Amino acid sequence: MYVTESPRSTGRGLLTVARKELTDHLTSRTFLVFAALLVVVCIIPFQQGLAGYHAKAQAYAEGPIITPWGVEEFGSVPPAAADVYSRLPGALSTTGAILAIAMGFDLVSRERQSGSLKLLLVRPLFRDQIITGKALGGILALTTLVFAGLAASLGFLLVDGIVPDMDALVSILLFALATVAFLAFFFCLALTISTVVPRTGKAFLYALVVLFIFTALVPTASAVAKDVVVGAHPLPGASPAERGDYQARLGLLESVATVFSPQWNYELVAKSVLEPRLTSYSFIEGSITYLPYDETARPTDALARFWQNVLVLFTAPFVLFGIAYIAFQRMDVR
Amino acid sequence: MSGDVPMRIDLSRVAIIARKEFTDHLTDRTFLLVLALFGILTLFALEQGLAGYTNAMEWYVSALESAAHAEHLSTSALASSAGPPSVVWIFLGVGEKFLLFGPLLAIAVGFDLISEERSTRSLRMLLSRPVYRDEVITGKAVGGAVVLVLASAVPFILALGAVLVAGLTITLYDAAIVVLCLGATILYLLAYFGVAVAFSAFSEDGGRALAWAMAVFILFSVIVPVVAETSAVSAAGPIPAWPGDNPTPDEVEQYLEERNDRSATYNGVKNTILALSPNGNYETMIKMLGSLHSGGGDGGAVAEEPGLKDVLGRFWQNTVGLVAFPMIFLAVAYVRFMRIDLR
Repeated sequence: MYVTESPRSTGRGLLTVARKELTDHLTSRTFLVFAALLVVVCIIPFQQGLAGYHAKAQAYAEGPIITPWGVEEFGSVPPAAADVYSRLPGALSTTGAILAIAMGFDLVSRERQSGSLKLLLVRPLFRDQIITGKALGGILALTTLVFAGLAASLGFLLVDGIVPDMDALVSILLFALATVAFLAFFFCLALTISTVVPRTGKAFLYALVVLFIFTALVPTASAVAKDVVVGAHPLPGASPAERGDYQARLGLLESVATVFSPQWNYELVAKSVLEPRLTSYSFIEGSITYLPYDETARPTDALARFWQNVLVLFTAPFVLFGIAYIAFQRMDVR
Repeated sequence: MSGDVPMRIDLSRVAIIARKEFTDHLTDRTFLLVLALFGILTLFALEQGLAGYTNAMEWYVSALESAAHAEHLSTSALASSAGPPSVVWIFLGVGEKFLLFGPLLAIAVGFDLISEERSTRSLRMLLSRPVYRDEVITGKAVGGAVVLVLASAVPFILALGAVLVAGLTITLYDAAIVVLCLGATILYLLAYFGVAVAFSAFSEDGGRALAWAMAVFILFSVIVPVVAETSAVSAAGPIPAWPGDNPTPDEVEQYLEERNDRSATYNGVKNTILALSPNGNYETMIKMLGSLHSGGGDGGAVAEEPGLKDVLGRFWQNTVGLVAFPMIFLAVAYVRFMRIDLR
């Protein structure tokens, strides 16, 4: 006779599942192909960022340009190493989302289809360990991918003679964390759909439809909503009150639309931590405003300024995981 | 026994399979969901298109009025160079929506065509019936293609309805451009349909087929344009420098020549690489169709309307690219399906 393992040691089972999922992801052909595509997508924007950094550094070395309208901003501020990354958020969002969906869409549905889920559940493992382990393994794989990219890019920076200072390092680290959170959102979305929809093909398609709604319908709908809700731009002779009213309505619409579009939300957070002087980014109008160039800002200031967006970015994956968790607990496996 | 059955494709059997696929897709909830989303997207695009048309028309009318009052040569030239806004733009705006999201529709129709029957094992049942393999794959491809033709016509019909309700008239020439645009859209959708069917034949389950088809989509929609741009820039070399402060006429001529050469190389390399991808071809065709109406965008007086033959001659490469792409992938799917090992 031997003592059976007490169910309190849940950590072991969870870690086993997570480790198995992590190695499965990292050796899966689909994951590797999409990761390679993601790297290729990022190369050119990164290179452009490097070129931009060097141009800015050269302009700074030549000294500020004084025009009749004041001091030109370009050339009067030193470049920051975080600038090199500033083109990445926009470039990687769609490919990254599809990568995350491709990782998560068959985690539960394939095990159900092939019948291995029944075999798994007769082992001394609880259901919550399986679903949490699967989510954890997938997010760890995404984190590995993002931080491998980060390490490689930092290596490139150093080879290129750019040494990031403390603030830039914090910026880049926060950018990486925001990217992981964004990818985790779509991964958890796919995991949820995979738990609810029994067939793998349909699960992927539904996840793509949701992505389609976020990328196509939300921006188009908000562009139409701008015409309908906000109204026409006040004419040049309008009173200041009228103009302020217009700006307030536009700002409200902007913030609502940004929160409801994960990609915009991610781009806003990522761009603001990389360039903390960013004060507003209007996706509908396409306008950006910065603090005046003689004011400095820390990366954490950006988090404080856009705290709602940061909150949504980091909690949305947990909400989706919660739905997946409940659905998995109540799933009928026969 | 009566001997050999003649080895020929029986079109009636192909038609039966095609009809079954057609009704299956049209009653499939997922397909209808994607189509409905597409309809909503079209309505938004139409709203914007009509608003843009009205604005452009108001601007044109005011420009004409000021020209009539002022009688200045410069203003009248301004008005005539812009030309009246065209109804075609509204349709092309609808067509543009297909560029990014049309492939989703096409892949949704194609990815499960073979893999679903394989994973549910109904394919074996089907092939135990008196039907040849090539008839099955041909019928399935035809059924899916007909569904796509229907699906791509829906947004254009919606646009036609909206334009007519708004009280705008469509000339015969505009209609021809719109029909060409519809044709390009159908070919573009068929390209991704072909990709999806090919992966569906290779992959055991639908999810994997869809994942691979999306990888191809990313390759052609994101990576190929970037590669085309970069290689065009590096092939063309640096932009020639303006020759000094007081250039001689010879130097200026040389500068202009160098610049023309550079832009010719740039465009040549870029278009050649873009012609490899259906996205590039489709985008080029939509842009060309849009510029047709304003007389090639030369900015002169409204040019004479080029004939159909001239138009087709201008983008025959893109047409060939768009036709060849689905053909290659459908052929791959066909060969693979004929040799598939069903156990």
